[in-house]
Amino acid sequence: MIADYIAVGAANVEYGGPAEGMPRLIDGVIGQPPPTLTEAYTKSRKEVREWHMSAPLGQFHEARKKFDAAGLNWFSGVNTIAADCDDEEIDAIFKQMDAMGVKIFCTNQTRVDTAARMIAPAKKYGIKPAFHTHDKSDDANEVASADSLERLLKMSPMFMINLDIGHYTAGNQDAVAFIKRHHDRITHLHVKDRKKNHGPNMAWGEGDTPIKECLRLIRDNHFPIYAIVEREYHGSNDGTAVEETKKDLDYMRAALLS
Amino acid sequence: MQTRREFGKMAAAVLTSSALSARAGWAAGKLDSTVKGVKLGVIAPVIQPAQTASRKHPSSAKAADRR
Repeated sequence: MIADYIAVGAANVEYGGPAEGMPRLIDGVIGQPPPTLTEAYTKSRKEVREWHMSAPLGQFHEARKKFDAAGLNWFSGVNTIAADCDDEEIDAIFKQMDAMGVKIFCTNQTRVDTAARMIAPAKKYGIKPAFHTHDKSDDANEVASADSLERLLKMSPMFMINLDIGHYTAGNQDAVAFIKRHHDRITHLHVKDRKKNHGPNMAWGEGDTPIKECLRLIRDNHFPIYAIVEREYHGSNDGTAVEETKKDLDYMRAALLS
Repeated sequence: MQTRREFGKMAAAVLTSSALSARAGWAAGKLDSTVKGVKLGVIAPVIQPAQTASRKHPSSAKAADRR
């Protein structure tokens, strides 16, 4: 895996960490419980909780050593704090991230109503949740609209935003305006190109996402915000994953150099 | 105003220069993907979808469930 990062020329990496021995959750819905609990979900969810509580931390320490030795900046983790995580499990998840040595993490599919229970562990471990945006901007419990993001930012100075400019645009939100208003609370962008009105992922440059405008805004104002490729468009796939990722990175380089 | 075609040509030119700069970065002992002060990077599943799916979304390994 580390060789792939080096091959694409990406020094900055967001990675959820090793999951050695982690059971597979069955019947969950994008990291959250299903609307109707199934026996398989309940059983596997209990196993996942047990893994969070008891997995040896050595695998996380070892992963950190490997990234550091390779000269890569593993700057962020990824974790969904599911609605059915109790406080002990949330603490255990933060403890794992602490062992990884990350100071921020993408909250992935975490919802707004779980955020309050993340304030104490964020402070305890010094790890800032970067709330990851989606496109369901009409749902107040989703991390999606400018309003929901601003509510989160008011909850704790430890709370940050991982602005996924593709999803945010698909939810008919204005990424450029949000960066201008809240640049000091944005840790990183997820860069992809989607169409508005919950439209699909597109080849970069063919969607509605203001990729170049966002990048140049960061560049021109010296905002310390990472720009991270999240390759969700698989329409052409002319090359390998590494080759396609390099194209996306080069798209960003071209935008920043012009 | 740059057309998409013009931008594509520029991106191709950057592809070559970035390969060179990556090598230069390694020559200095550390990879650097900072361009004009902006730190560029990747999220792990970009490259390794299968390996990190369970970590990103413990509920499912289906690609459609990823974000």
